[in-house]
Amino acid sequence: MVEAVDSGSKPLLSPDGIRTDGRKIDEMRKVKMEVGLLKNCSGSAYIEQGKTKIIVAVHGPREAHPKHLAQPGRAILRTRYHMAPFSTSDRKSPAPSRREIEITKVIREALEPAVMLDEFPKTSIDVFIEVLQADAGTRSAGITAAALALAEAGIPMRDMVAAVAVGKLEGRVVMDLNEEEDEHGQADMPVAMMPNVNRITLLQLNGRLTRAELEEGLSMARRGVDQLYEMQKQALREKYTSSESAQEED
Amino acid sequence: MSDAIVVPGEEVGVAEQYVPEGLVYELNGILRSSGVGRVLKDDVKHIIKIQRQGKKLQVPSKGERVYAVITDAKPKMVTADIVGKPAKSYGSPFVGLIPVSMISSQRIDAADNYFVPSDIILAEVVNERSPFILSTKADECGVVFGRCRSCGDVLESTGRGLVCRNCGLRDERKLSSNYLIRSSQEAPQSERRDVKRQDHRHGDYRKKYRRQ
Amino acid sequence: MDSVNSISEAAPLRLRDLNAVLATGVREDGRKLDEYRNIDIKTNLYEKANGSAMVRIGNTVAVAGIKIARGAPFPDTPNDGVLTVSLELLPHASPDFEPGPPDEGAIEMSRVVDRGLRESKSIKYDELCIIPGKSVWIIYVDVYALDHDGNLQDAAGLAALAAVLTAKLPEVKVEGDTVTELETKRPIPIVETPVPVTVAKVGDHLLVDPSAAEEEVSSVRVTMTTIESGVVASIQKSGSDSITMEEALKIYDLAFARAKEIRGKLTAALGVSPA
Repeated sequence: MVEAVDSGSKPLLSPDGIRTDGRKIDEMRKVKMEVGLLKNCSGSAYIEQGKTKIIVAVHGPREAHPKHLAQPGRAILRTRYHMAPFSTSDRKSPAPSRREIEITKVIREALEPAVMLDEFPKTSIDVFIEVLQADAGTRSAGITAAALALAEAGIPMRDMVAAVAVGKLEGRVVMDLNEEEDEHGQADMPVAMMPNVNRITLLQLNGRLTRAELEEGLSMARRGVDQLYEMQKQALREKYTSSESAQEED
Repeated sequence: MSDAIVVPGEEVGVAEQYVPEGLVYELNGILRSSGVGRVLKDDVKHIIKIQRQGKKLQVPSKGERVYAVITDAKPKMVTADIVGKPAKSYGSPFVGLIPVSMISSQRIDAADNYFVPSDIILAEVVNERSPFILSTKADECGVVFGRCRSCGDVLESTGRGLVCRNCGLRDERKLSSNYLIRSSQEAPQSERRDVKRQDHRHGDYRKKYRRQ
Repeated sequence: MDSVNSISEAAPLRLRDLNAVLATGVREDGRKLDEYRNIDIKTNLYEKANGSAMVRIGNTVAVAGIKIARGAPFPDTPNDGVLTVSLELLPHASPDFEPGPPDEGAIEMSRVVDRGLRESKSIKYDELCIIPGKSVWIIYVDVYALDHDGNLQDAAGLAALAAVLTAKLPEVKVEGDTVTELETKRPIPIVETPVPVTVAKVGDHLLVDPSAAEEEVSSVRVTMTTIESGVVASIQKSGSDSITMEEALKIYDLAFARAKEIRGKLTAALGVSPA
């Protein structure tokens, strides 16, 4: 079916499938990952995906506070997704918005399937995701970095988690939207997956997709997750082969 | 041991071949890593585990000696905040419990006679998970620093007990053999050491006896 | 809801019981796995509102009211009207709901209702423009959850949709910068019906329109809002578990099929359909 395009003057996708930033349809933005850059937390990671820049710190497992939050049989995972006031074109109020509260929840639920929470009863594992610069795809980049920080913290996990947003421009499904594409595109579908056990842990959609496009979007997200997972592996391996850090048997 | 570092989720073997141990778990017959580290395979015992790379979790583990601060003492149960290991303090404390039966190798009626809130103790962790159970039965375990119940000043060890350096009150604790503040009027070293050695043997004997 | 929750502590036992029942292909309340509960829709309940609807799904009830006001458009969309949805879980609905600021669950539910209506682009926002850049219609949709027996998400979404479909706004006369509201009314310009359908995963089973008992033990809920053409306009996965890609597509198929039936009931109940 024909979709209305409200992108104004210039098209977001050229007839030969090139996007406004020069990328191809299934091309991810440039990604940079770094592990363990903060020293006063259990684990940390930094990610740049295009102009999106996010830093994540993990604390714990530590005794859950306030006490009534503690669960007898497992750890609780707490997340905070927050955008710095300087991360957007117009200053963002530092108070958590409804959007941030919702994203905090879906990110937590995207990480929970991977973290072995029953290993640490009555404790909390806290993941703080701070968006330093927002240029679309912040929840997905935040999840990718959070998984890295959890791994660095040594918290047992069933799998890594990586995430990417796929979208729709001029009727075509595309990988990893940037801000302009997110604002003016026809759909935005962030997907988080555990790459080895092949399961979706976050799935949201704003926009309009047919069933075929939904299926194509999921497969494209799967390919994006695979690329990000390879980079996560690389980042972790580099960390532990470069700095001959202490090895401790378990 | 292979050189490649595996990350969580990576397949490291199959359940038919190995028994998973540290940082390896099974899902649908496949063995996967749950940590970042190197794979260790024992093909004789058919055991597979991951040798963790990097930071160790800052969580008390079974068999470890930890420092704790007593937060509450009741006749049957003492609670304490576990603050760290001798070389490393935890970012935030973990809750520890000392049941009256774990305080000493000798029989004790009321735990609150031997521990007082604010005492700093060295103790051994006897279980894997929170709430952590602590034992102070070993000689080195017990109070390493305590304050007077009555005036709050520092208690000094005389070798035969504790005396408040301010008000002179005599007090009792399950003492560590490494109590920090020693009185200048302490009993001669040789004598004290003798007493200790005797205690130690006594304790050992009792432990063995109970196991039979 | 955060304190030691004996209900959720007992969930593994309930899950075992429920799984045994589901294995027979029938749910505790006698429904098939892919069967929706009875839906009852009433509209135009409150004279002072521009539109209103009450939706009952089994024993779950939500009510939506619409107020319309003239206001300034957003600077980046000067020719478009504005839709804002808010949702409150009234303490009436469940002993678990407390008055006070919404928790993350309520915020999520509200934003999913909002996205379902907004992202489908089914409402023609440009037709809500009065004076470009200066004056547009702002549609406030306020949804209340009144009775909670599971799947408040769909009840809230359907109530909001039914209220939008039946609401009326005054015609206006524009002379220069002066706007006069006329006696005559027109409907909100909406060209499709975006219908939300929630599917919960209990054990390995996908259950359409979960009851409260089923929700309690479900590990994941997915809400998909679809329109007539089969286009899906919003998706939300909620809950601390994962799904496979096949399950995601299966959920789409279930959601689209049930949405079609619900759309029929909606049209019958309202006596109107999108322009």
